[in-house]
Amino acid sequence: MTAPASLALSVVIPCHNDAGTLAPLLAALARLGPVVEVIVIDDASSPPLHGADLLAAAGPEARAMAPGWLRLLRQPRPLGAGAARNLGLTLVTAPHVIFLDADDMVMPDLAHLARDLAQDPTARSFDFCIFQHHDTRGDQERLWGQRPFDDRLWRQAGLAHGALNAVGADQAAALVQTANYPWNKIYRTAFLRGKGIGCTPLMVHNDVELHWRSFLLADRIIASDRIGVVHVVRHHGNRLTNRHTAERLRLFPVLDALAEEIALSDRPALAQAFNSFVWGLTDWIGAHLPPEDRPALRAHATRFWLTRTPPAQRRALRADRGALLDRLGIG
Amino acid sequence: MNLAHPAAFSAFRELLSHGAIMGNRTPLCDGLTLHADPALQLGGEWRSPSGRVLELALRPRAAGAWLGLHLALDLPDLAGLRFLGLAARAVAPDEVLIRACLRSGLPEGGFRDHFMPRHWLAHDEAATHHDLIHLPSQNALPVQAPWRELVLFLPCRPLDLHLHDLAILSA
Repeated sequence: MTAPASLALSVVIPCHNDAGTLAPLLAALARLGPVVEVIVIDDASSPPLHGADLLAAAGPEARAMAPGWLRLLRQPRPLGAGAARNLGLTLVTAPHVIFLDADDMVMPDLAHLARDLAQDPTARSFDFCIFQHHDTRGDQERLWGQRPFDDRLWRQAGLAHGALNAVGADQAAALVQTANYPWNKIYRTAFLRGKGIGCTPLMVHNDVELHWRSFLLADRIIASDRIGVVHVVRHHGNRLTNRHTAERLRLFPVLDALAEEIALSDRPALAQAFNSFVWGLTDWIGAHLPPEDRPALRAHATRFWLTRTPPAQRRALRADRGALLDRLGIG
Repeated sequence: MNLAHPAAFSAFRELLSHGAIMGNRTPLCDGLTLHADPALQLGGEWRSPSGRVLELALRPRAAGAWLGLHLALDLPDLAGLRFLGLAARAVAPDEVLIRACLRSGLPEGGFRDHFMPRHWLAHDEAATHHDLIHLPSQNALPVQAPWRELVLFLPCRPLDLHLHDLAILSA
């Protein structure tokens, strides 16, 4: 039996002091099949990453890949995953790209998805395909798959089942509210480049812009119930996810710009979803921010309330999420 | 593997294919066919994604008595076997009750059915199902048969069923 046609995938991985988890990921990517290149952006790791060491640690399958399969670039000072992903995207040569974290793990279903996307007429000319994932927070409960919040949105969209489903506008307005992850999507490289879509070069929340502008600007979205990636969540340590400082407030100009762009698109369901997302995110930031930074958060939130939240949305928020507004001192 | 056409089933499972449900008999690959009571006037679509068995969207236009997915087995002689069964993984947006059955052809024509002991309910979460017949305790089951099939009987109503995986177990 000849090998079935598959998408050619480029994988972009930012890495900051994560060589230990990167090696098994590289080994899995070598085994997977459709991955024609891996671009690792060393975000100023100490000690620096070395390609030969990474391949040696990854094992014989990774070492047997074609020369140039692993490309390693280094940012001399830490700029965060967003800047690293943007740099990696400029180097991609494959028609499709996926962004992974250095401690993610790919599953065999990702290879099957790449084959379906290459062969199924449903998927013709897609801009991106969002797929399901397993989150390790479910391990203790022996739950396989996404967190309940995301799962509910997939079900609400009617997309919880099926290896490939075309996503309509109303369904996109539900799926866009899932967690803003970069690693649960296969992108058409030319879509990202042509529309100028990338990550925000911030140390935190870099993926909000990528997620929302992708949904906003895509003409053709595909959804798959395949669990393509296992995402590891660590509640402690020096992960950027666990960094709760005032630098999170630097996201607000980005949110302003996104709100403006979405408002101009004349897609009310998406605009409402984005506004609702901003308030949920603001509440989450507020819950983790040191007390001394909360007045600044309140100022940002107040401005967003006055300038970006339409009257109908304010009424809905007051009715449905009054406690959230109280916590933020809004309204 | 005790399939009559293991290579065809393996290729079917690995490669993407799709098509329309064609009335009372829809061949999916060598050894795998959807049979329906003609009275159902069955329509719909099927798709076999890469690495999965089958996604069925079945749309009967009228009432009918039976509907089944038939998988040809290479098991003419059960002598020496103690267990025969299946392992499968399926999901269905709306619950689908499946009855799995070992169908044995008879030399004089016709067939005899032996149902697996457990009911199989495919539901909204992908779930694994397994079931076995203990062969030595089945006195009416023909040990030799000119042909055999695993039949998955489905409800005669509109349904969506995604069969992610299916394997025949024997010991």
